[in-house]
Amino acid sequence: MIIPIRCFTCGKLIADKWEDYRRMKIEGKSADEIFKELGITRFCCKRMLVSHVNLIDDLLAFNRLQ
Amino acid sequence: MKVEVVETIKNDNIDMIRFVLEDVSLELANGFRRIILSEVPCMAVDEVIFLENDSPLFDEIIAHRLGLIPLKSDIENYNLPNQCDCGGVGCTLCRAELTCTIQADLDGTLVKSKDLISTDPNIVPVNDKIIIAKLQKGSSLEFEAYTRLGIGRDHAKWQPVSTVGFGNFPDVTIDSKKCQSCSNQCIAGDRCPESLIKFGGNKAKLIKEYWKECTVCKSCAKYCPEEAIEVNEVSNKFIFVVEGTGALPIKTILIKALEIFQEKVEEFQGNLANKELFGLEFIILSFSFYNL
Ligand SMILES: [Zn+2]
Ligand SMILES: [Zn+2]
Repeated sequence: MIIPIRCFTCGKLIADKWEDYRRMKIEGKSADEIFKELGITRFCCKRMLVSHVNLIDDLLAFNRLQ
Repeated sequence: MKVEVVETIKNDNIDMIRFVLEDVSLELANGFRRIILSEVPCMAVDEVIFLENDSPLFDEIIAHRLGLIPLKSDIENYNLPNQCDCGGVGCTLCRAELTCTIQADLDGTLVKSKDLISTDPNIVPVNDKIIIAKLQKGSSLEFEAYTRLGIGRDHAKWQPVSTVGFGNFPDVTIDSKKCQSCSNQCIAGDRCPESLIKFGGNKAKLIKEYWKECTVCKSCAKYCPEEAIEVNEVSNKFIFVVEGTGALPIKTILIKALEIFQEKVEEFQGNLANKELFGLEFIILSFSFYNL
């Protein structure tokens, strides 16, 4: 849906890192580099970003106000 | 009791400390860990009033997301609601307010933590980039969120740290006399997941300060064909890792945890001293606990 605020397992803040992750991914950086830059060390937090599908973009097409 | 700081990292993304704690029993170290997790107070959103919400997310989801945002806390000037004069109803001494009013001009406008306006400049989200919701053009989001102090035992959003843990201090010894039979390669060293054993001149050697990385997995001892390596854990010596969310500086968290611990011990001591019933033994017990 939308990126969770914190890692489900350890509680580290990840919602602020999603945009940076996305941007660097599009730039073509490897996941390893990105995680090093974002200060993500544990695999529980890595899977939060890697496995996230931003479904809210699809839902936005169906505007409540229309 | 000896403390030696191994490493501290503090930047926008990570705030952590690693230290070695010596001459402490396992039980005391674990007690310290649990007090950091569940007794040190910090601030979080506890109540949200929605005035307008056109986003695809339900009110409850946004309220939950707001609750999990770590806020820079001020534990000196705020009271816990149950200790406040107002009796937990909410006053300026125990509560701060965050408001947000957003009307999206563009498609896919992100509502971020920088859009939260606080009544107290000390109580603000730890950074400006936390995504709260996403809005379509013309939609609006309007709410009032009330923050209060709380402890991790009541809800994980009030934990001042994301992780706190400790592990045994490793003690690896290599008997290099037994290394003669391996001519050009150390099988055990290749098995080490952190590559802490280097092989040179027919001798396996541990790298300097190997204990910083060693996870005490014991695979080197397991795979050494000559059984030259012995892995032990030093008793009463631990490596602590504390990673904060940014709500409180880590130093404050550790000092506060010790204060709370001392309060608890003193309360226990006081309770025991009042009980004549049990005689002297219990008072002695309380003193020995205090001096652990
Ligand atoms: Zn995690
Ligand atoms: Zn109050």
